[in-house]
Amino acid sequence: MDSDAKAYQELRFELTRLATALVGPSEAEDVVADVVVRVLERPGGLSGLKDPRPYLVKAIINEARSRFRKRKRVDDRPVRNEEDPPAADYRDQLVEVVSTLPPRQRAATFLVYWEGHTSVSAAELMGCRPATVRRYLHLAHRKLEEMIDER
Amino acid sequence: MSADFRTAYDALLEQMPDPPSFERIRTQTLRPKPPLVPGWQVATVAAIAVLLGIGGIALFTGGQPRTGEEVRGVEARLVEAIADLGGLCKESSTMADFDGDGLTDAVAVGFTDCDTQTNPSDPTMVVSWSSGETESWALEQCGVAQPEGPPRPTGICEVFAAPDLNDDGRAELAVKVQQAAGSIVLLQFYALTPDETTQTPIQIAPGGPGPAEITPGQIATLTYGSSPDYEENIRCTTSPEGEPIFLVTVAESQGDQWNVFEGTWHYDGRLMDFRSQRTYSISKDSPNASDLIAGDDICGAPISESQEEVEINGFNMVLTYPVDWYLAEESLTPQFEGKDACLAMAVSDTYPERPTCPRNDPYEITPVSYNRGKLWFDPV
Repeated sequence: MDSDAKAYQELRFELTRLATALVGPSEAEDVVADVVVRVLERPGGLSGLKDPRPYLVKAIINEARSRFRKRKRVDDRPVRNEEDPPAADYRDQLVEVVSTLPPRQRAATFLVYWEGHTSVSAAELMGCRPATVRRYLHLAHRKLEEMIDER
Repeated sequence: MSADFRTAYDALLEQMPDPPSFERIRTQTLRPKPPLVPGWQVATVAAIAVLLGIGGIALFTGGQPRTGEEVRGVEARLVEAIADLGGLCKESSTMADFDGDGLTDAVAVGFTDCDTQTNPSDPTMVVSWSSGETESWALEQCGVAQPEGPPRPTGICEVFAAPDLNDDGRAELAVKVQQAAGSIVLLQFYALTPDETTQTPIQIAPGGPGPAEITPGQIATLTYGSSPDYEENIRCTTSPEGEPIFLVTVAESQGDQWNVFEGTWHYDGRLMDFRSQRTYSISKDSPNASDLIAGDDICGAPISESQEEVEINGFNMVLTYPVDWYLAEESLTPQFEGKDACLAMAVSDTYPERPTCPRNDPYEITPVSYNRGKLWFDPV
């Protein structure tokens, strides 16, 4: 196993988990593959990165943002319309709300609430300031509150 | 509430796929890549670009970056400042020397409340100064001025160009606030200074012989662009006394001549002063008629290029404004393979509203409508 393959093996579950949280299960595999392909095509490849983890986390978030923007432009419909079947239960509704969050808000909520990062360590991974992470969390909370209010 | 998020992610992760195998990824890196565009297309577009004079769109509209690294630093700090706001939607940006220190600054304008892309709110300006400082302001007045009350928001607040209207070495920022017929836009101007005055668009100075719609104290709103019947241009020149002035012309097409309303303005670094007006007619064949045509710049400052990626009839297209021709990026869209597709389009009045492809073009183009700067067309 070469050094690129080894570096990937160490991170592949974490990256796929993050991608699943950001873009959903159906696109997660493609997001990871596309990001790692781009890194491998750089001089030095994956093993040439000084610290591959934050680099790849940021790259996954950027890829998710790119797909999110594309989707928004192509189809700016509201997530639900009258023809959609009603969400089955509260858990489905939560997934639905999370799915509408911008990728960086999703990343912040996933890293802090699911992975247990602090806003400081999440900010390091995301490449922004802790205050920005806290703002993302605030915005995500607001969205969730709106959903709860509508119930 | 954090438990709610955990629940949502638990649900998503129950369906997490297996990570892609390294072999699959490796195979993907070895796949030969198609050239971005065929060579002849590049040559065609480049030739057209040169003919149309759009090859000279410069990255920098003013200021002298000391090194590429410093410019990247200005850009990077801009990105960081935007991230700190939680991001901007409908973001547009440009670079110019806004504070007159001879170095390039960067500015972005967008909206912080992006719940809906169609009706965003909270327009915001973010500036990254060459000094290393960054600042942001809410642009509460970004909108269409009304006789009474605050400006009416239009959902458009977009960097358009950074001309130096009074030739003092400090660029002003022209911000588009509304799209009118054809490519005609309504512009407001900001003087970027490291204080709160930046928040307010430049206003019209007291006095002056302006027509009723040019009211002292109002935000100066100028028009620029082309439509089938009008050319609206802004160009800088010097008065007979040697003072920097700018001329705002509205030319109405009537047969083989233009009927022109010309306003003479002066910007003193604080307010815009409407100095004089005149109306005249000029033959479209006159050499001076070219002064009336809105081109790709305002006072030498290029109009910021904006791009929009759209899907039309299943084809991903990148539309670029204000460039006259654009190549549909075949390589980005596997759907194009094996199909004839639209290749290029004309979006300015240099061409008829319903252009046809050059005969030597192996592709067909079928524009179906032209609306607000967008040319929609059917693949054939």
